[in-house]
Amino acid sequence: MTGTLLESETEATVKARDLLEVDRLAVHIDTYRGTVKAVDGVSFRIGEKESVGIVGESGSGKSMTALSLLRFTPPGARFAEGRILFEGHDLVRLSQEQMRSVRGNRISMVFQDPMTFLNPLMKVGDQIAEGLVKQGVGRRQAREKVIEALRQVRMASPEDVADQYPHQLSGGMRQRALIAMAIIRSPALLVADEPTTALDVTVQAQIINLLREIKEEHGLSLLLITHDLGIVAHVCDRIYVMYAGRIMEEADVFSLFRDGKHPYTRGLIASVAYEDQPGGAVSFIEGSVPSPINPPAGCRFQTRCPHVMPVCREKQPPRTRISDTQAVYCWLYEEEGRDG
Amino acid sequence: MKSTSVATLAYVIRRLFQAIPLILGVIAINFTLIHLAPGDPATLLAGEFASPEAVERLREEFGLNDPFYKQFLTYLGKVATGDLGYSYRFRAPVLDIVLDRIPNTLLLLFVSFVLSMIVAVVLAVLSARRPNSLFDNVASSLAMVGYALPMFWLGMMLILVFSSQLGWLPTGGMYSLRGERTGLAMVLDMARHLVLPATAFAAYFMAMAYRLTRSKLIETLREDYIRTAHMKGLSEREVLFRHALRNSLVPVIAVMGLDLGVMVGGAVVVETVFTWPGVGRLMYDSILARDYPLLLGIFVVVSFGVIIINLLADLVAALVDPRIIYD
Repeated sequence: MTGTLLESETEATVKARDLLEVDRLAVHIDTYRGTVKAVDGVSFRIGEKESVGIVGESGSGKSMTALSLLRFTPPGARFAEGRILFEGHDLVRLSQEQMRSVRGNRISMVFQDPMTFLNPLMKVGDQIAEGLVKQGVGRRQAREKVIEALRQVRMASPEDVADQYPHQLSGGMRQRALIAMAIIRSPALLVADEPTTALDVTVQAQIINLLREIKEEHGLSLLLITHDLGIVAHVCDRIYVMYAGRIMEEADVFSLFRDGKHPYTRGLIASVAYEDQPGGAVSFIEGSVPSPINPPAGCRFQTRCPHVMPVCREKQPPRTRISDTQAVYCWLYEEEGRDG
Repeated sequence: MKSTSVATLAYVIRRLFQAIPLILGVIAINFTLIHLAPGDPATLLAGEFASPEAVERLREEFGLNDPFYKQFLTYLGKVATGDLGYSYRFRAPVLDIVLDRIPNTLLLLFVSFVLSMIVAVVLAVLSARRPNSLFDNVASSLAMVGYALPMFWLGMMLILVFSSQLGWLPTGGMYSLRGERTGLAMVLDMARHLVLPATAFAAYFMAMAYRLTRSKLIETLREDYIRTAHMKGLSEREVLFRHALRNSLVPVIAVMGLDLGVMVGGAVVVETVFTWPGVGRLMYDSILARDYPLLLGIFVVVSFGVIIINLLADLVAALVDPRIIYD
């Protein structure tokens, strides 16, 4: 899979080959009140061994984007448009059977709440082994691999944990078990959907560091979905900022924090930066997210944008390239917009 | 692990001791009720043409002239030593008569229970896979009917159709009069007699277990760990049976265990309709015959049985669900 050519060159000089390419993906959910455009024309890519973050507030469609990679969309949701190219296949078009051979095997996922994502009636080791056993690995060998995986996620006394039930483990230990479950079949891509949101702050840092180390040790690509800018800054190479079902800006982590272009990106960073200032007012973005059923024409951020212009209300902003590693969807950076 | 099994054993023993006041209560209430009921057992026992002296002698013999509290205490004393009294009608010790009938009732209960659980779980799985599908709607409607049908009516209809009209199955009893009494032939003969009463009995429990399992299964299929199971690339069938069904059955076991009291009531009806020689039929007969010692004895044995089966249901639930620990 991995080209030796790539390894001989530094990461900075070579654009990593794409493992995943999502192209104008749209996921719509039909409801009685109308069609919810949860994900509406989202494009992004993840290179081999790259860690990419998708940041956004609740309702931005970031989780739905992550779930659609494994075709875990809720009932009523449909892929209205776009492609998800992964290892030469369009995942949108795979059969259920083919999709099952991707899940856990090539793409794995770590979920938000370790308390509820483990089966309470099954021993932790058996749950981790399940995917392997399905692949035809013998019981004894599977057991060895489970212990090995538990060791890789830095679980203390992995032999004991394998024979325990989820309720006997702490939240952090359960999340480690879920990570072990996700990596045991050496997938190419690990999707982590808000992996620390439900954990204690002290445990959060451990899990984040663990994800980073696992990614390096296993040479896998990581897609991290979070609302926490601190976490993406710590883990990710590149970041996509999502808002109301659309990508607003994409950039490498340094450019984004030093020189974020989109007014929404700036608002997000400002709201974190001023948080800790003694006596200082908390900065926030005024207004609220527009209705996903009847979103306004043009830019989705127009209702809250301090720099809103007439053109923003008419036409959707195109992708404007700022540099090799940065692009923004905003009229402020487009010639046409500046004139209007 | 070791300490868990010791704790469980201690729990079982404690539960059995807790059963004592419960059984005392059952005896007290039923003893009082029977005492208040009209009719004189001695007259019944002595027969229509007995002399008043003979009746009086029987009263004296069975202690029926003693004051209420004395009769009650005497009875309690006997029960404590395992003596449930003497049946006027059968002229035999109550315990012997009841123990003689219990296997027949247990057979009926067991067959109905297994039958209803198997059918209910299969239908519930098929329904829960596609809630509100045509299959689900039909099965759910049938379950409503099964739930609502009176057991005696269903029993009589079954007899009418399958015995009287079609002549496929016997109308009642447990054995054919001229049938074999040994080996496979006996078993088959008994099975033929069992089909209709077991069906009449199972209908209600099937409906209840189906509705319970279906709704619990639909709920479980929305749990987060089902998503995890899919993440591992498991097939729908594997997810359903390995992750969803087992987790759904824990509450079903608990409720079915609690509902055994209802099952006893059902046994009275079904055994009477099908003249099945079990404890239910015995209870019915002893009421008609005003055989109070027998009736009371049945109450004691049955309530003890219900307590034991409830305890078993709790233990089975703990076996399936590791989070349930008794200490």
